[in-house]
Amino acid sequence: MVDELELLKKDWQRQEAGLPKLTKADIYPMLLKKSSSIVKWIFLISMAEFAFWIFMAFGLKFDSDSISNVESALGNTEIISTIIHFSALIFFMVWFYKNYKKITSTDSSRVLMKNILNTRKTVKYYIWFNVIFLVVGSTMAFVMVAAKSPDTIATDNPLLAALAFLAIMGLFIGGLLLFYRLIYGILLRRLKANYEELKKLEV
Amino acid sequence: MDKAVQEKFVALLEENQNIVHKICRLYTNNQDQHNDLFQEITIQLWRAFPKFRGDAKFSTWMYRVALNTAITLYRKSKRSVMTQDIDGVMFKISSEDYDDIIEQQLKLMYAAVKELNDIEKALVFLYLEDKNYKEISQTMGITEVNARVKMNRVKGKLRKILNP
Repeated sequence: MVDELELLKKDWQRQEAGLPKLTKADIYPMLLKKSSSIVKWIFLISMAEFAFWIFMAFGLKFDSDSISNVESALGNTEIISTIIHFSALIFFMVWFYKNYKKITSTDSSRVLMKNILNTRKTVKYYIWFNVIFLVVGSTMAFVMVAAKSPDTIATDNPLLAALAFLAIMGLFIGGLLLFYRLIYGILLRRLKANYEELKKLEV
Repeated sequence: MDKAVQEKFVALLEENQNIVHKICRLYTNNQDQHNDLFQEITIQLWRAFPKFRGDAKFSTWMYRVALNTAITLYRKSKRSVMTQDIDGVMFKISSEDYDDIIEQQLKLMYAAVKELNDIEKALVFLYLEDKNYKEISQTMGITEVNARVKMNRVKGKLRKILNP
């Protein structure tokens, strides 16, 4: 086998004659093209995620009677939750940016892969923060509204209202997690496999 | 960026382009993918060029960025992954240099290397490029001992592919 590999090595050095030869004129336009690297995709998707949650937290406030009923029932809680959400958003975005800046193709493969996965992890934590925040927040809001202004809830049956609430939450979170799994599953499968392969070598 | 820097970079890449082409051949299966990966490696090299201080050889620095692009940064498009064109675009073995048996053996070897996973391919590539274990370990980010152990395992794997 070693002999075969040596044979391959010799042939490998010879193959240079058959390789394409690009001229400077071929290379110049390449410098102007846009990258389609995985890091760029992770960055774009992460930005979309931040935007989505900002929209979820601050954009969905339309005026109607039932909404103002809810608002009056919640009182200061809403302001507090907005402050928490904003602080978390800034914290996660700074963290994400710091990790993103660490990514450089001149690192060793293992460090590079680790840095990319860490960047991704930051956004994952942010998603989890949002999901938990959403569940706790909505549950609190639901309980408070049910206690303070029960008229807002369309049905008189509290059990039915609670079940409907749970079903909506469950569907929303389930859909969200499925969406993330699909996006990052496709994007990161190969990177994760390669990282695991390298990590295995260090055990 | 400075025009002189750009000229210097293009000249260096033109001079060392074989390294990139060889990586492209190893990691892609047809000419379209080859060009695509070459393009992405060029962008990554160009982006990283300000960090190249000239204390290492340009080619050594290039191995790292180019391999990182091939195994980590590059996103293969789904539809083209399916096509395997080993005899066509891959490694052309010049028949006048070898007798039939050796030629056949080499063909099998190249096909076997193509079947390895991304990390194993990188190790074999660096080995074929005559890099020592120190350089291999630094490029991949593993210890020298582990690079050696893994290389032996890859040899074993190749042997298995060749003699099932």
